[in-house]
Amino acid sequence: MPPAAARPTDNDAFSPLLMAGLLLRPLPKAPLNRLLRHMAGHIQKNHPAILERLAPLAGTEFLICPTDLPHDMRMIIGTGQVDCRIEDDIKAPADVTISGPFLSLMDMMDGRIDGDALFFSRSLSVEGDTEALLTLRNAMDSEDIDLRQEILTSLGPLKTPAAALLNITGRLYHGLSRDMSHIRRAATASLARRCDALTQENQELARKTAELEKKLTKTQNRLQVLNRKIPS
Amino acid sequence: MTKLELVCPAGTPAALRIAVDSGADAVYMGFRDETNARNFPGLNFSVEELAEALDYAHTRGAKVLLAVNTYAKAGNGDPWIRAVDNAARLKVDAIIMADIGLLAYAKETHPDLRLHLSVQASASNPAAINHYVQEFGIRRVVLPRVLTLPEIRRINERIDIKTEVFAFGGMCPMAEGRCSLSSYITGKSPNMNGVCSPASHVTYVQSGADLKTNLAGFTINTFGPNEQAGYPTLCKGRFAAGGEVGYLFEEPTSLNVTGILPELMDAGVSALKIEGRQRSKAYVREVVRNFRAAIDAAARGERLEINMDGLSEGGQNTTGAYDKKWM
Repeated sequence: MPPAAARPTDNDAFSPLLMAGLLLRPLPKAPLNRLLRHMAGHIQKNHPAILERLAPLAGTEFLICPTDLPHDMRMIIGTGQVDCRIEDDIKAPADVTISGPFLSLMDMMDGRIDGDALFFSRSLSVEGDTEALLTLRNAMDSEDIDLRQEILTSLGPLKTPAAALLNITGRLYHGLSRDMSHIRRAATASLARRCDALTQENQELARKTAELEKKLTKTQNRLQVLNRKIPS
Repeated sequence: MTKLELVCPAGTPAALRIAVDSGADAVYMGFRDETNARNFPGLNFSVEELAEALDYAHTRGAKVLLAVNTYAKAGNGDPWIRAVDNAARLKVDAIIMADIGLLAYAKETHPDLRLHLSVQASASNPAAINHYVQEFGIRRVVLPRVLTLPEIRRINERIDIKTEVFAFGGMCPMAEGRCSLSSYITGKSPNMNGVCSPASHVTYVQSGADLKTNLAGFTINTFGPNEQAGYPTLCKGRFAAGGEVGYLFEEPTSLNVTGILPELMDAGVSALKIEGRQRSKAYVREVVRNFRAAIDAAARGERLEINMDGLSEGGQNTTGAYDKKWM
């Protein structure tokens, strides 16, 4: 049974990551692309079984779009290799597009969150070749990969200070997430109440319409019966 | 009453390691081909990976069961025969099968190989089960998910082998092994090809805030904004009929029996099977840990019902036919 998912809510996208991403957006992409290539190479070298599972996908392109970061990533499955690069202005359609909060995407790739559960809860959005998506998910899940460690390892001599920075950033992130969540709730509270009221109103109208349609069908049926009884 | 055996799914080597480390008594898996009922792309084990899995599991006291539970293709049964031979050579703890030709082959060629009857055989009464025992030496039967607790108890009273029942995961509302819904719409079925609603026939279309699920070109469900989604199977499709829209067979939901373990033990069940070889390591880790705790509690005479809605289809659980209230 294939997985997939739905459009993440806009609220999920309003996070410290979004703010950090916007601040980092002007930075040149070349170093990020070098880091991505290095990380992809490292994973391929340490987990060759993944490439074997990905073999049927040669030539398939995935577009991974974190909804809370300004950068998208294109992943191209080649023969015996995988290439990754940042792509902000999407130049060509991909075979599969995956959208969702960055940390959810990372956790799914790491095997910390179940992809199907993300689908059920409508946290991810997927479009395109479902079979290719499933193959990628199963291939990534077949090995024990810690993406955070892979990123740190790819930084070479900067690994130790980067790990320390990541720990501090992680703590800051959780604090900021809570604060921004409060701000978001305060800013959208009245709108949310209005939306809830409209939703209830809408449901009530839909219920009444369904009742009326039922009554109409019954009336039409009765009329038909009566018509048949009237001698022509 | 003996303690229930926890049988857990492994779609990949990493999932197997997690299942064993999380407390599985046994792990089941299949080869990377159509010889098993979860023949999904990127999933399953090569022969070499099965050998490594056996080593990992046996070192830690867990058993390994191999599913060769689809029906051999007419005119080309070689992959199925090869799978049985490899299972015997590598000394798996048991092989799970449904095809009577394969069962006969396994019994004659590898008399020491322990045979379990797959749910795909759909043996749901004592006469059928006893026939498999007499003819093929079956040591355990996996019962279909359509039986009630009293029916399971009556079966256990009339057979001399152990029974395994589904405990968590996908809820097939049909009699397994006899469902033709997937093949009706896609041409491929779990029984013959190892796939239900194959991914190659599934597309998801975002239509505004709605999510449309298409199977073989037909829209089989539309989920509204923020509505919990389910799998793209026809049995859980939403249909319009008589002016009403609703689920005809079953709404998206998952089985969870943590709340009725004492009753299952009392009905004579020996083993619990977690469904989900196609699910992730994260799913395996959480479900196996929870069931380990629930089974240990049941063995102490306690009841530990664990909510796992977050991992469930449609975000909800059921005890299904075991606790049948609708007939």
